[in-house]
Amino acid sequence: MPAVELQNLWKDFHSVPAVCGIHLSVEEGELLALLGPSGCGKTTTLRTVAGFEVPTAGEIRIRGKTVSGPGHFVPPEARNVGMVFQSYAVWPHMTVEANVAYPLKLRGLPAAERRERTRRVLELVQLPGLEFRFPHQLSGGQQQRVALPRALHMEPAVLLLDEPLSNLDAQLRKEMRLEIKALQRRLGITILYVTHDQDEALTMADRIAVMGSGVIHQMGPPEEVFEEPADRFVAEFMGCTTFLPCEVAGVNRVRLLLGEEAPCVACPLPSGVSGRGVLGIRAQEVDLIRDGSDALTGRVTLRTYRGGSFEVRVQVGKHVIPLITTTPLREGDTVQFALGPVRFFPDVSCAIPGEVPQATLM
Amino acid sequence: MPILRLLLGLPLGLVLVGAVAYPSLILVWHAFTRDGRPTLANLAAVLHDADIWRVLWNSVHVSVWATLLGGALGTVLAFLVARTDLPGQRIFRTAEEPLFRIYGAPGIILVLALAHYPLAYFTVLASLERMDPALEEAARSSGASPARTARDVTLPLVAPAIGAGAILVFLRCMENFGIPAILGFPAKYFVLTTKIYATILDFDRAHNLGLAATLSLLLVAVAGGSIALQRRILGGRAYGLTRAVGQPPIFSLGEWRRTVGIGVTVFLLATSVAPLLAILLTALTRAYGMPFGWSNLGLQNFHTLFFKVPVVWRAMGNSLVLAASAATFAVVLAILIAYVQVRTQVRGKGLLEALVILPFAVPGTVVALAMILAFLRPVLGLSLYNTIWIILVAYVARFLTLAVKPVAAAFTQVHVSLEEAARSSGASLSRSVRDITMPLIRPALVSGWFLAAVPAITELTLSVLLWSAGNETIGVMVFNMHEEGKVLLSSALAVVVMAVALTSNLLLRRLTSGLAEA
Repeated sequence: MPAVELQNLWKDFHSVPAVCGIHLSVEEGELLALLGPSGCGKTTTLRTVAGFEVPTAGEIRIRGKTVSGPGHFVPPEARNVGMVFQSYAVWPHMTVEANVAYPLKLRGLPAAERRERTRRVLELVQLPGLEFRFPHQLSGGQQQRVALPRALHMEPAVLLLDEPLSNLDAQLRKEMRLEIKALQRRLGITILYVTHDQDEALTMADRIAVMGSGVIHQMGPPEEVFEEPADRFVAEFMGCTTFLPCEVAGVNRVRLLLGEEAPCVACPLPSGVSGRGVLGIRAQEVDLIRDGSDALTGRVTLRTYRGGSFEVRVQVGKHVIPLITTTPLREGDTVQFALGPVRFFPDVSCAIPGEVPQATLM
Repeated sequence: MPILRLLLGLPLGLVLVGAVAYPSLILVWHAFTRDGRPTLANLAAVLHDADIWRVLWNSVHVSVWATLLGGALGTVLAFLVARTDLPGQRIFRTAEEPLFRIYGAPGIILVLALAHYPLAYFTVLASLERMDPALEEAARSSGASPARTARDVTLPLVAPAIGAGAILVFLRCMENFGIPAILGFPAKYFVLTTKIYATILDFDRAHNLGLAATLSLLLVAVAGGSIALQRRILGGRAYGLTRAVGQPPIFSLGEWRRTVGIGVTVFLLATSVAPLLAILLTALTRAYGMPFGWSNLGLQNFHTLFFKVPVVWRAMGNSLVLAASAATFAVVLAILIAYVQVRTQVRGKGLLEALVILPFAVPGTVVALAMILAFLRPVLGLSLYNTIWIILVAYVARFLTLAVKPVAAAFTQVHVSLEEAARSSGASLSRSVRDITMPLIRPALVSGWFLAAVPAITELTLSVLLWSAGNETIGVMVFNMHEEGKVLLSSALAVVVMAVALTSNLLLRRLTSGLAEA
C-alpha cells in the first residue's frame, strides 16, 4: 500500500487551473521530489495533501485512508502528516523545546516523556543544548533544524517539505541536503519534497516528478529523468541549455539545420518518427575532437574561465553552441567538436507549457 | 555651503523654536511659577483639590472603560475580518467617526469607545495580516484544531498588537475634548481636558492659567506614561512577523456565518451610519420637540444657517483659509525637515524630530494652552493673541508631523544617486532638484498637504480655546451653537462640516491610492 496516493487531482483557483488531473503515488520510505518552476502547481499539490487546500476534484489517500475525495474532507490536524515550511514557521513565542514538543502535547503525552523524546530528537538533528532558546536567538539553519524534528517526531505517515532549504545559504543548503537524506534513510520516513532546484531533486530524491503548468511531464528515478528527459520542458529543467533545429534524416540520424551548413549526426530515435524537431544539448557533454564522422566545425566567439576549465561559445552558422573544455582556446580559433549524447524532441513537444502567474497559485 | 545652510536653517529654527519649543517651555514655566517666582504652589493646589482628583478619576474611568469596550470591539472585529469566512469582508474595512447625544459618563464611555475602536481594529488587523500563514498551518499539521490554533498560536502572536491598540485607544480617549465637552458639560461631568478648558476660562479664579498649566502637565504625564508603556510592549515582544505568500487559514464560522455577518453589519450601520442619519434628520427638522413626520421636515434650518447667520459664512471662510494656509506652511517646512532628516548628517536630528512630533503627541488642549501662555503678551513686538494668527501657528505646529511623514518617505525612496546622476550629467544643484527630485516627490507633497489640511477643516480642540470674535472656525460654531441650545442649527452646520470632511477624505483616499499604484 502506498503511503500517499493522488488520483486525478484537480485544483482551480477562481477557475484558473493550477493542478490538472495528476496521478501520483509515494511508496513507504521513499523520497519523492516534486520538481518544477514556480507557479507549476507543485506547492498547491503539496498543500492539498497537507489539507490546506480543498481539491476541486480527485481523491487523496494516505496509507489507504481517503483524506480528500468527493464529499469527504479530513482537516489538516487529523491527517497525521508532518510539514516543514519554506519560512520554517517556527513559533516565535515558544522556546525550541516548546516548539518541538507541541505536537506531542496535543497528543496528550505526559510531560516527562515529551521532554525525553524532544531531547532525543534534538540530538538527532544536532541541536542539543538549545532547548530553552527562543527562535530569534537562532540562525536560519538552526531554525530549520527546529522545524524538521517538530514535523518528524509525531511519526507522521508522510513528511511534507515545501522548499525547506531555499532560504539557506549555498554551503548550508548542501549540508542540509545530505543530512535530510541520511535522516530519511536511517528512520525510513516517507517524504514528499517540493523544490525548484534540480540539483536538490537529483541528489536527494528516490524518484522525481517534473511538473509544469499543473501536469506531471515525467516521473522516474533521477538518472532516468536526467539521461532521458521525456520532452523539451524536462530537458530544459535538467540542464539542456541549447536546442538546435533539425530534421530526421534516416534511422537514428538527424540533419542539423544551422543555416548554410546541414551536417548529419547520430541520435537515438524512436521508431516511426519523422519530420522536424530540436536537439537538446548540454554544454558539459559537447567534446572537442580532432576528426570524426559526426564532427562539426565552428569558430570560437567567446571564452570565459570558470576555474579549472573554460566555457567556450562556438558559432556554427547562425547558432551558438556552448562547450566546456580544459584546452586553452582563443577567441577566433576554428574548432572541431562532437555533440555527445543528444536528445531529439519532435516539433509537437517543442512548445513549452505556459506558466500560470504565481499569485493565482499560492 | 553656508548660505544654503542658513536658508534651510533659519525658517526651520524660527518655526520650531517659536511655535513649539518656546510655548512648551512657557507652559512648564507657568506651571511652576507664580508672579514670576518659582513655586510649587500650583502643584500643591492641584494635588490638594479633591475636585481635581475626581476629575482625574473621571478621565481614567471613562478612558479605561472605553478602552476595554473599544479594544474588545476592535479585536473581535479584526479577527472576524482577517481569519474567518465572514461574508462581505471587504466592506468592513472603513469606519467613520460616529457622534451620539447621550449625556454623562456612560454616554461618554460609549461614544469614546465607538469613536476609537477603529484604532484597535486596524492595529490588530495589520498584525493578523502580517503574520506568516505557515505559523498557523504548522499548528494545524501538528494536530491542533482551529480553536486550539487560535488559542496557542494566533492569540499569543497578536497579543502585543492588542496591547498596543488598546493603549492607543486609551491615549485618544484621555486627550479627547469634543466628546466629553458635548456630553459632559450638561451633566457637569468633567474630565482632564474639559477641566483644563474650564479652568482657562475661569477668569475669576486666581492663578487660573498656572493651575491649567499644571493640569496640562498632569495630562501629558499620563499620556507620556502610556506611550512609554506602549513602546515597552512593542519593543519587548514584537515578533517581527513577516508577511509570507499565502492565504491565512480560515476558521470557519459554520452555521453561525450568516448570523455573525448580519450582526457585524447591523453593528457597523448602527455605529457609523445611524448617528449621521440622526444628525441629518435633526438638521432637517422644522421644530424641535414636535412629533416626527414628513410635515415636520424641511430645509428651513439650512436656509436660516446660510442666509440669517452671517457669522457662518465667516467661520467657513476662516476654517478653509486656515486649513489651506496651515497645510501650505506645513508642506514647505516638511520639505526642509525631510531633507535635513534624510539627506544630511547634522547633529540634533533627534531634537528636530522630537520638536516636530511633540505638538501632535500631546493633547490638543495642552497645545492650545501653551499657545495662549506664549502669545498672551506681544512677542518681539508681534501681538498674536486674539487674532487669527495664533490659530494658524497652532495648526502649523499641530499638523506639521502629518505633512512630514509622506515627504520624508518620498525622500527616502528617491535615492541620492538619482540626484548625483543629474549632477554628473551636468546639472547644477538647483537644476537637479528642480528636474529630478521635485517631480519625484510631488505626489508626496500633494498627499502631505491634504493630510494636514483635512483634520484642520473640522478642528475643534485648538480653536475652541484660541478663537476670538471674527476669528471663529466651523468647529467652534458647531460647538457654540450647541452650547447655546441651538440644536437644530448646530446639526445643520454639522451636516455641512461632515459633507466637507467626507469629500476631502474621499479626495485624500483617491490621492493616496494613486500614490500607492505609482
